Amino acid sequence: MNEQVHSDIPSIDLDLSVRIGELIMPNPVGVASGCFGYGEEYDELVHIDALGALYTKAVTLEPRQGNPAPRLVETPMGLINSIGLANPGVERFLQEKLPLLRRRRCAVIINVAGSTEDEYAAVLERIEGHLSAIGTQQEERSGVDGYEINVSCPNVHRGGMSFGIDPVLIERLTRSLRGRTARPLILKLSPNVTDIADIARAAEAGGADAISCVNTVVGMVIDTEKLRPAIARGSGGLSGPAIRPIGVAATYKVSRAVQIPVIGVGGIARADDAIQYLLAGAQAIQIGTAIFTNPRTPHEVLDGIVGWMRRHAVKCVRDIGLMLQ
Amino acid sequence: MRQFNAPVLINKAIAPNWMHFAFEWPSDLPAPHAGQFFTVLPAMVEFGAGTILRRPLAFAGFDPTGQEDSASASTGKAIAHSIYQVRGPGTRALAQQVPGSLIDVIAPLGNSFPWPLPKEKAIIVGGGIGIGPVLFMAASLSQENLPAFVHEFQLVLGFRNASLIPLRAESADDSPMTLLWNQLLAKAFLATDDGSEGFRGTVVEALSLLKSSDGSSKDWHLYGCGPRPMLASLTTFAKTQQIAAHCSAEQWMACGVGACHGCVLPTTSGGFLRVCADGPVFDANQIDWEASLQ
Repeated sequence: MNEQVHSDIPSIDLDLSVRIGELIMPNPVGVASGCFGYGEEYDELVHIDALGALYTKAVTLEPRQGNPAPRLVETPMGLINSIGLANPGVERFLQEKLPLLRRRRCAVIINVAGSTEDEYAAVLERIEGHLSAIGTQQEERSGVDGYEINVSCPNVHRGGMSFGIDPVLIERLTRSLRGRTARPLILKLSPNVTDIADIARAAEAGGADAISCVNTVVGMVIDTEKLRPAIARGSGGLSGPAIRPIGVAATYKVSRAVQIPVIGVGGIARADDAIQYLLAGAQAIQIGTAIFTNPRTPHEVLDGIVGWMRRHAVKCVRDIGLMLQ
Repeated sequence: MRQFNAPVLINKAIAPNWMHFAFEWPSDLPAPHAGQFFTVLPAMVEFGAGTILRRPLAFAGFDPTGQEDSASASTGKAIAHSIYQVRGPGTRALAQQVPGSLIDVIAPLGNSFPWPLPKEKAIIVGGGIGIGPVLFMAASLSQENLPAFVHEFQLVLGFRNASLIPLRAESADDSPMTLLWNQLLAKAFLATDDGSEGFRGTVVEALSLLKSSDGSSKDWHLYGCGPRPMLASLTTFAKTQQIAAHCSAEQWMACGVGACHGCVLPTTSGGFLRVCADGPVFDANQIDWEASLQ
């Protein structure tokens, strides 16, 4: 277990709760999809239940092996990955991963990816069908508190980002998924678009409950000795502190374009980074790549947000966005 | 596994660009096994490098009684040892870490080498910087309190040339671990690419020679760690000879705990395995080493 023990409730006199659709998250700090598996890998290092939300690794209809190796390259204050949505597929997810997720006390958001609109819909239907079939007793967790729809993965040939750049496709996909679940629906958007506000408005029009802003930025590193790109697939998705200003700017723009909550993600490694996102208009934030650097980051960021709220005499985390001058 | 701040005890050159690194091991943490690794977060020192990832390093030895050098009395605290090569901004930063300072460690990580069966003779093969885990394996099999059959092993080490054979430099420390490594090196079969010391040729060429002259009635079990081309030819040798082989692999890593699926290698059955969580030790036949060289 972590050397630093964190209480489940870091601060009783402050209101840290965040509302996404009908879901109340206990605090604004989540761990980003793709950086935390389905939770079990980091169990011995991170007190997950003290966090606001766990966003799972993407789930697709069929199992995916992912992209050829090498899949990673480090860049100045960043990391380019091209994992290719490697995951066991929805059936094995339900059998092997969901039982553990049901024991979590933080919110669990299932990240969903697909190549076609039908594939996204099929994943949601399969999960919803499974949850109806097993039922949940009172006080028992379903393990699915919402969905984050990945329309922004740069590392697959079809689907992913090809959806995320077209407002018409986004609205249609969101509407289709809205008809299949009452749980919160979060659309995770790419920054690699002409105007991210257009895409966010389309998601809102389709019935999304929130926007995750942003996924990775397309990037490439070339090995000058081997004379080829450093990762096998050529380009990949850049994450880490290098992209934080891109994410903050996108959050500022999107939160002024839509009424639904924005979840800020991209390059958060310290509490100050998270507070920038909250001031820009985000209601909640996610931490991804910085977990690789230091698994304690989510807890340190949460503690830092609490300290900042005290220093600035802010009682409610949802009010931070109103403070920007 | 645990994340902890460990006092650095040794961080000293043992060959050109090779460092011996040792840190204090928490008394209540299970001891690491040969093949396992840890990650460290060195303080960033180079402007513009901007490294953000932890560095995975293999254990090269473990001293449960804890004596960082012969001049000082036993501290009673366990010590973990590693050998790393300075080859980029992360390891250059690590090389600046002075004894007495604290370093952020996550350990122990990954799986370990399986033990040889009573009918098997362990042939432990290391190439270049891959000697760390194999020295640890050889040291583990040398322990006195083990059944006698494990003591019959052969260590085979390969280097590009004699000047790269570590632990002989004037500056090498005189810690008990270094003395143990030197004893193991003295008993090892050495091969150099240019013939400047020992057998002239690769370790796998050396294995062919050793196999033909081996008087043991036991089956060989290969344990390998080194550059991937070496592991590829070691696996081919094992297949040809129909002997068991386990190899410890290296790959770029982000999380080190199995979450990100970044550090994969292609398998012979068509998929991928994570070096950090499914390995780093694999049955040599599981990995498509040739494809991994692309």
